[in-house]
Amino acid sequence: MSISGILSKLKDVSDASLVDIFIPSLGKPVKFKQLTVKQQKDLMKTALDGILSPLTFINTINNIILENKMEEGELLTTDRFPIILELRRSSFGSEVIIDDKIETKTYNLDEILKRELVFDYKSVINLELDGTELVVSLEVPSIKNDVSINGIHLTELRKDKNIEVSDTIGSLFVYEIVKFVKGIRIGSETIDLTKETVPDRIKVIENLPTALNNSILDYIKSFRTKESEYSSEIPLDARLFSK
Amino acid sequence: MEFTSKLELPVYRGDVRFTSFNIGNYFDVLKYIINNDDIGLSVYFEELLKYSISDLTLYKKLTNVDKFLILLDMRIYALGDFIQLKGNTKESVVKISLTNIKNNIIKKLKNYDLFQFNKFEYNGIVVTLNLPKKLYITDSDELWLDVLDTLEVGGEFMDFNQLSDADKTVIEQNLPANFGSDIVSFVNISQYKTHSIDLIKEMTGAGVKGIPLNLYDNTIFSFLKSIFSDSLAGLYELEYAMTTKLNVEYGRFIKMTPLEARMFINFYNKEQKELEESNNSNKSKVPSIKR
Repeated sequence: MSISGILSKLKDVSDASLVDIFIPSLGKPVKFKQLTVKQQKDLMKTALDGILSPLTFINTINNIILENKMEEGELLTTDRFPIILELRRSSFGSEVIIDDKIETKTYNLDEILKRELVFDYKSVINLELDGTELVVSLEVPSIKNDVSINGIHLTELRKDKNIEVSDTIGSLFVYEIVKFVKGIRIGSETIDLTKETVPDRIKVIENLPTALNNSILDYIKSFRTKESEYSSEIPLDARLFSK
Repeated sequence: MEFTSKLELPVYRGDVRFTSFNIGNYFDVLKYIINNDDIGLSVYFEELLKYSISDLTLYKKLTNVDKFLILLDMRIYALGDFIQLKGNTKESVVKISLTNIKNNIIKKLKNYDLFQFNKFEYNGIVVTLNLPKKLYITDSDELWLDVLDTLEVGGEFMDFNQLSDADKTVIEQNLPANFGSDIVSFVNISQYKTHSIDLIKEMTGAGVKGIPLNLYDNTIFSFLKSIFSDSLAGLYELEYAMTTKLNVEYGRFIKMTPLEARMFINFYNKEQKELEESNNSNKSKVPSIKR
């Protein structure tokens, strides 16, 4: 008996039980390893992160998706829902019971996963502010970029031990816009924001006209609305994995 | 060869022999307690058990409650059987026998079959769980690792008790998540079963609150800390008396148990008292040592 012997056998079991998950952005199924005990534990622990837990949960899910993906191909943040729900179903079954102290709700993942999550993907969307030469280019961020920007966001939030909920929510909006804005054009001047540091990108976003920021948020919201309809509003947090 | 005590352990389900808790150990324990160094104290207790039992393979199989019972037994023989608990008034002080606590826990745990629900299988992987091993758990990460007992897959067998925490983490990173729910359910069920056993029985008349036996939240570690607590200054006094008044060699002194040392002091005091009484006419004052 050796560690490497056991690990090799566990890998054999894992390789024999890969899960096919349909990826909306790729339009095809991709193979994933199933969740591990460590990953489940990490997901459940995010419930203890207080006001940071929505962000730590999403970033933990992002890292799991990247670790467990068995094929090449960039995954977008809009692919997250079907992946999370299928991974959950493969390990713990299709029934999800969530007790939020007001009521107990039961969700059936078999029904949810039968549905199609269709987004209108274009490689880049351009939003122009009326009466100006200001145009922002938007694209759905990849999970990899989401991890990186969330990591910076969490570091910033953790610096302030007395952080308020309102500060967290405010910064969530700004960072979310940062993820979606690929570039800015003013007249003939263009800047590719993906090549700038995140703090610099935040400064640019914070100086955009409110009307434009609202249009960007509406664009982001269109994805969230579709996800909500697809998932029957199943809460996306640690309770999904504490069977 | 040192003297060893024997104890039948209810979860290990066998006898274990161990050497005594001596004054040298007591100095160390009191220093950790005075410094409020719980992690240091827990490491010391674990090393003390390893040394006292001297069989490392056996030590690695002991659960936290087995270790707790051994330390409780050591405390009884080294420092005495009774502790005093304060009730809800200044006057209400209750004397509790640690032997009764020990025997009650052993008897009740022997009756529970914790192992009827500790084996789980998924996709050809078989995992067995057990009560935690560590006396002191720092976080839930440690707890999940600590209840893993054995693993069998594809003809390979692994005893988690022989692994380091780092190796256990690597295995955990490759175990299917189905076992995560099994771990949670095992902890909940075993906690529910052991919770019905009293560590301290409630005594409403004396205003003493009951403490249930909880093996997952450092209750037993805190209890050990409190029953080993005493005055370090008092121990230094004992050292002074034994080495200067009774001329006991220091090396011999630290190998005694505190109870043994106090017995010598009592003999000395008794002797001095008899001498004083018989020499009453000389009115000589002989120093007596108070403890």
